[in-house]
Amino acid sequence: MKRNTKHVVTLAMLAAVSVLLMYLVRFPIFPAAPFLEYDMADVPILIGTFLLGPISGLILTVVVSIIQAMTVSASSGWIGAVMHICATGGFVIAAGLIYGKFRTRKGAAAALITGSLIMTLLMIPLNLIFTVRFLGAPREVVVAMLVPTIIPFNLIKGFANSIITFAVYKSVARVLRMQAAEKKTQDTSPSYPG
Amino acid sequence: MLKSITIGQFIPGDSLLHRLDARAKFIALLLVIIAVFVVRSFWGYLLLAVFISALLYTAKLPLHYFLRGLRPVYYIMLFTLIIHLFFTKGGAVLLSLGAVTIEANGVYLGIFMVLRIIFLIVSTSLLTLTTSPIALTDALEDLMKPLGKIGVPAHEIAMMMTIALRFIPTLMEEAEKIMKAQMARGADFETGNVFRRAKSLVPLLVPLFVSSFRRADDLAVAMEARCYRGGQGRTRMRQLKITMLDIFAVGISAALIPLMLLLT
Repeated sequence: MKRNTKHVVTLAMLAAVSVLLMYLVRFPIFPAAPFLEYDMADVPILIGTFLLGPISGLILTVVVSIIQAMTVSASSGWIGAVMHICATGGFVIAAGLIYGKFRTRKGAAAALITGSLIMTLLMIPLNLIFTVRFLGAPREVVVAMLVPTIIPFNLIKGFANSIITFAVYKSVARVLRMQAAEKKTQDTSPSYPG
Repeated sequence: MLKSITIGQFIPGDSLLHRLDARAKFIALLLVIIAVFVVRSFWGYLLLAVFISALLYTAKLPLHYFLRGLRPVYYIMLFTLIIHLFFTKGGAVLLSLGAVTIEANGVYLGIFMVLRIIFLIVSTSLLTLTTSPIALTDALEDLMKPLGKIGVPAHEIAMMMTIALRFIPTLMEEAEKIMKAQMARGADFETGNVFRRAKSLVPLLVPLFVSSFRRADDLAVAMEARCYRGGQGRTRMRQLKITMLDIFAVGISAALIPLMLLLT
C-alpha cells in the first residue's frame, strides 16, 4: 500500500462517513429479530475499496469497527467488532480483488454480488461461533434462526448496500475525475480545513 | 434530531479509573473479558460481581450511564433468557403447562447467560466512560506497535481513527445541511421498505462523499505544510507513562483468571 498523507486522510474521512451513517440509518428489518439492525456502514468502506484497493478497504474496515466498538454500538462491543471485521473484511477483499481486475460497470456489479454472497456465507460460521460461545445463545436456536432470519438478513443487507454503492460510486468517481482534471489545468491554492 | 448525538461516551472526571493509563485499562479489560468467559461456578460469578461493583464505585459515575449502555442489548438478554427457560432441559421440573416445562437447569443457565452479557457490557462501559476516545486511540497505537513488524500500519490506523473522530461532528453538520437541502427539493427519507429507503439516500450520499473528499484534500495539504510525514520519529506532547497503579490494576485483573478457574 502506498502510504502518503492524502491516502491516510482520505481513508480517515471515509471512516468518519461510515460511523456517521451508522448513527443516521439504523433500523431492524425483521420485526421478529429486532437485534438484527440494517446499517449502511459498509457503503463508504466499499467506495474506499473501489477507489484505493482491497488492502485499503481492509484497513478501513478495521478502523471503522474499532471506532464503532468504542462509540455507537458499545452494546455488541468487541464481539461485534470482531464479527464486523471478519464479515465485511471478506466482502471487501473479494470485491476489491474482482474490481481491481475488471474495472468496468459489469466488473463492479460482479464484485459487489460476489462480496455480498461471501459476507453472507462468512456470517454463518461467525454466528455459530460468536453468538453461541460468547453471547450464550444455545446452538440449536442459532441453527434454527440461520435460514429464516440470519441468512436473509445478511443477503438483504449486502445487496442493499451493494445497490447504494453501485449508484453512488458512479457519481462520486465522475466528480473525482473532474476535480483531478481541473487541478491539472489550474494551480488552486488550498483553503484551510474548517 | 442530530444535535442529540454525542460521539463516544466519555465522561470527564478525576476518579482512580480516569487517572489510570489507557493502555493499562485496555489490557485489564481484555483480562476481565477472558475471566468472564472462563467463569464456571456460582462463586466465580459472585466474585466477578463484587469486583465489577467495586470498579463501578471507584469510577464515581452515576449508575444510569451504565444502565443506558445496557438498553440496546435488552432484546438480546430477554431473548437469551426466554430461550434458555424453555429449551434447556435438566434438573427439577419447576413448572409444567401441558407440553411446556420450565426446568431448573434452564433457569440457572438463563440467569448465568444474562449475567455474562451484563458483565461484558458494564466492563466495556467502564473503559469507554472513563477514557476519552483520543486516549484510547493513542493506547491502541502503542499496543499495536509490535504488529508493525508483520506489516500492520499501526500509526496510520491510529491516525485515521483520530482524524475520523475529529471529523464525525463536522460531517454530521454537513449531512444535516444536505438533508435539509434535499428535503426542500421534495426528497423523502423516511418511508418505504429497506431497498426504497436505502435508494432514497443516494442524493444525500453523493454530496456527502464529494464534500468529505474535498475536506480530505484540504487536510492533507495542511498536514504536509506542517511537515507531517508519518509516524517515524514523531514526538508527543503528552507522553504515556506507566505508574505502579497501572501495574497493580493489570495484576489484579490477571489474577481473576486463575481464580475463576479454581472456583469450580
